Amino acid sequence: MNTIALIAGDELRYWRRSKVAWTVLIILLLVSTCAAFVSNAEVSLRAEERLAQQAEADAIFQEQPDRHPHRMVHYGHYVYRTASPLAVIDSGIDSMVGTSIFLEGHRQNSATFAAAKETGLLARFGSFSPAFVLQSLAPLLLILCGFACVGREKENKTLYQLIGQGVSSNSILLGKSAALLMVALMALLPLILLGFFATGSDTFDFRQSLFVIVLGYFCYLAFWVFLIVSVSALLKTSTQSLSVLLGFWIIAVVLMPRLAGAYASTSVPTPSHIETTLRIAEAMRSEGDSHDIDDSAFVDLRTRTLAEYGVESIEDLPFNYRGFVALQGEEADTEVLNNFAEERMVQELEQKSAADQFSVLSPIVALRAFSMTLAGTALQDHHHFLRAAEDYRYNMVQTFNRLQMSAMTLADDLARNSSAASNQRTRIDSSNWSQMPVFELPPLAHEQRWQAASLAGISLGLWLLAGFLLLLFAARRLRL
Amino acid sequence: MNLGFRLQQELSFLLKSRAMLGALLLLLVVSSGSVALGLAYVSQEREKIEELIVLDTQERDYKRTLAVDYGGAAYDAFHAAWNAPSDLAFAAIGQRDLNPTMMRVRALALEGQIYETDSINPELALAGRFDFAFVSAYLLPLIIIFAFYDLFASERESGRLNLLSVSAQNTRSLWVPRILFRVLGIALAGLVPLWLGMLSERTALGSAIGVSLAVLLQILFWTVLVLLIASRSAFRSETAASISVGMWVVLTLAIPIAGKVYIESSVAGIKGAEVSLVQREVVNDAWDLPISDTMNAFYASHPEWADSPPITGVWHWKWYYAFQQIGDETAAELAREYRESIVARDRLTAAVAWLSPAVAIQRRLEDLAQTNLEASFAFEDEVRGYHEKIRRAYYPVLFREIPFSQERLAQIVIPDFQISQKSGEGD
Amino acid sequence: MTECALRANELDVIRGNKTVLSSMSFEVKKGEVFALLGGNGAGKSTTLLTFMGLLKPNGGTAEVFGHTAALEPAAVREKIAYLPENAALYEHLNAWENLNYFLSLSQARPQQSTLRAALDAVSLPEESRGRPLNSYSKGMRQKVAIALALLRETPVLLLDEPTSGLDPAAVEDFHNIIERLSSKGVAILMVTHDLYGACQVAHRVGLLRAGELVDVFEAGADGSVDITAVRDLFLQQQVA
Repeated sequence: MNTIALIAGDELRYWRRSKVAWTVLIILLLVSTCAAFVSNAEVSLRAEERLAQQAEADAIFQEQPDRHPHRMVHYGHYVYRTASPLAVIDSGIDSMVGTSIFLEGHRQNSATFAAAKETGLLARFGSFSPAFVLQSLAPLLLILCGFACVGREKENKTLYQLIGQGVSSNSILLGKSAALLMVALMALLPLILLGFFATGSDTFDFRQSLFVIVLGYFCYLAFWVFLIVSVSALLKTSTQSLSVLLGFWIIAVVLMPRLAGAYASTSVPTPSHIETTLRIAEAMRSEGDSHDIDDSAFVDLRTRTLAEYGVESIEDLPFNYRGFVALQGEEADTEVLNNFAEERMVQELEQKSAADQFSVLSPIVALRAFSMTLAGTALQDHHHFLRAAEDYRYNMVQTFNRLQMSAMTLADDLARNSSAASNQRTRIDSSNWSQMPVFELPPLAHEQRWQAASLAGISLGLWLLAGFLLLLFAARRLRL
Repeated sequence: MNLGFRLQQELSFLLKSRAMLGALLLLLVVSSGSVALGLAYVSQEREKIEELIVLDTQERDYKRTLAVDYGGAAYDAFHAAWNAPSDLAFAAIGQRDLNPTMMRVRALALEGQIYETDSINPELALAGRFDFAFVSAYLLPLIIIFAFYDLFASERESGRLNLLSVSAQNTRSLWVPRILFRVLGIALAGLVPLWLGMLSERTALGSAIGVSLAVLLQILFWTVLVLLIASRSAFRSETAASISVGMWVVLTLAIPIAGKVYIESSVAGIKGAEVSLVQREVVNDAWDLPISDTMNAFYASHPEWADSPPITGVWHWKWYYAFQQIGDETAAELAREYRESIVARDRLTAAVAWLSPAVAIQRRLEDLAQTNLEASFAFEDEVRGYHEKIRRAYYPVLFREIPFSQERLAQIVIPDFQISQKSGEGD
Repeated sequence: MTECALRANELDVIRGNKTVLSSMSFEVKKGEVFALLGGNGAGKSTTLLTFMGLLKPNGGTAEVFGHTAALEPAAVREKIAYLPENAALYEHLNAWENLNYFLSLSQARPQQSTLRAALDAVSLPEESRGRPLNSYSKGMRQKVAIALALLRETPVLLLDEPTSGLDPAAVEDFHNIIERLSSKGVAILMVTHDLYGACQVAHRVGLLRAGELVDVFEAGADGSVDITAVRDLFLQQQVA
């Protein structure tokens, strides 16, 4: 144990004296600290913006004058997506998905106005978040710091002196790893600091997730450390080690995530938005138009309802039959729409798991899934938002349909476009709009989040284990 | 010295270097992969468009059979518009994924329809596209760094440099062939798959030359940069590698991301949702205004329909379409501002391209492939024009109050969407 | 009088604030073997670099057949073959490939038989010629490097520590080659710290100390330099 500390200390001293290593360390610390601050500022700005937009949309909605409730169904409402507070660590898909959805009757609109679309080309170069720095840059800087850690001693023949003095090769490699791990920990420091000053960081949830995320990043960086030390020990020269490590970095960090995405989107093709819309339209043909109570699709409903209430005509029903048809129609429509929406989400999750298979080929794929899931900026969170928005839409529409049923007579409702008096009587009080609860995104259930992250967590653990085994193998080869 | 012998020896020297061959093979494989995936993506897009046209026509024809009045017929008649991928789109898919490439519009307010985008899987989009533009912006420089960072240092560190210099009599005959062959190898490994892709897509010669030149320029830039670093005799090979990779990180990652942070804060507060919000307000407010207010406003800006008979009831389709159009016209200013702020960001992006070759080549390729912002706005303009055509096709029967008949409806023919050839020039 | 092949004329080389060579002058005639003997850091290798035009002197000139190295490096290098210390060649290439590659830098394609003759002359074992150099011993590498120098067929040969790390048999072989070349009229300048080797093979031995040429010893009638005189002075300067 003591020798490990000695070797680590020696390596740290070497870095202090070497300009390159020193520069690399400073850059790493600087960049990861900057990323933490910039990301924090960006996320809180975005959150404020969206809260303000939501408040504005809510105010406009609540200020609507007295109206026919079905007008409100078509008037609709806007909901805005608020990002998870942990987006400061990993903004994930936040910029790639639409920020707002227009909710109205009979339709499910998609989320529009993605930030990436508005930024254009540069949005594709990544975001300056701690996640990006730790996933992509930190391994590169660790490589530049440590590629020669054993090779240098080989070239100077000091390695054989160490071994000659009875230092075990395990201790040498573990010592070198310990020194590099200190650098990795330094890179993680700003992330830990975020736990204290980021907006929303004062909750247990935030701290708990942050802790696990930091653990995941540590596993990832530790894998890189073991890889770097092993390669440096296994190859003949430092230059060779550098080439091999840089090559691995290019393939694992730059190529693999994109290849995974390309593979997933070709192996699990998804229909275009329009195709889905058209298929929905086709499926809805049999549903009938719920604005038209005489639509042949509702003959059955009429007979059943009349029988149930034991009356002869729809005029005799204790409620406005038009509102009733709207209610039933919306229910049937929504079922169709939800089927398509769920199908789409299943396809997207299939694509995601197809892409996640690349975790076997690159640890960054596993880490990205792990980090986004726990930060609440993964695909599941977007789906969660879509479902919550749909629930809200359905409740809102059905509330208005029920109001249409109860607050007016069928005769007035039918005559609203021909008689001004009926038109007036079918307008209901605006207080109904302000009574609508505002949209709130409930947090995704913990079990769901942990479950989704656990697979990625396991692959990260396996990568760490593989790195450690490689280190032991390299140590054995060094002894020979 | 015999040039043929010299070149032959240098070529076989290159072929004997396993590391260099490995790097070239990697580039070849990745470049081929990106071209193949790009081609697959483009053909998928074309299939989707064909499918869209069929489904769209079916749906429209079906809805027409149900029509009982012109207003209702127009309400139900969606018309497909599409932006087919260009002959070079496979190489740079660019902004096609986040911007609409297919849409269906009807005679209602356009501002509520035009921002619908295709559904993408955000997690896949986040990882970034694996297209040729990516290979040339990211991977190509790394391969060049690999090929040249220790060009001089490895000879110096192994003690061969003096012998080489003395044997060569002049340094040019020593280094020029060596650099040339490596550059040639990199250019071929990168470009040959692209050329094959362009052959199969029958890419126009102009764009083919343009994209090849852009890639060669990128190779030239990085070769010169890395050679400048590598030729500093004070640098050991590891130092040269670290500095070169550092340059790559700065030029390919840091500057674009810093640029992004800058342009997002300097052109801030883009509220696209505002446009559709305003349009919705106007459209909905109309329901609560006296019909004559809406109609007078509409006739003021569209005097050609002013002689339409007055509306007597509380509802009429022509009133409905009038306030839809007024909704568009009210939101037009905001829509223009929305687009202008995106264009302003794009202009700043162009400035960033001067600082980062990765941004520059992406922009150039997207420009040539017509997958950039400009192209998507051009498509949007085409859709706006097409939407206007749809409106004009229905307005006569609505405003002249022609009695409804399926025969008359059948005479309302809206030609299929077609991108006009002279997009961007006047009009 | 035989023609003068190499001439150092008041050479001064200053690196930073350290004087590496100071007003060094000597000549090497055609067919002559001149050995520069000195300890570590005496300026031996610097002298060679100056003659190859790879290093510009701060004062004085290094001339090869009348061409000043610093001014006409190409003309000078055409006349020079160089055997570097540690025979630095390409490790991943075999003997044939190394020879071909280096020769391509300066001349037309050599005949296979010419290459074979050169490798025979340095007695590189036949079966090793097709193997990459990373499987060679140090002596074998040196032989390939010497073969390369022979193939250049230049009137001047510069040798940097040619016998360091070679076994006695290889040293013997090497000395024979040197003598053969010298008898053909090749001017040879070798730098070494091998006192005995230098005295045995050289016609003249110059003693270098801290950049200064202290003394030059001529060979006696037996063709070799008096070793005791050189050794005494050499050891004396080491102590000083």
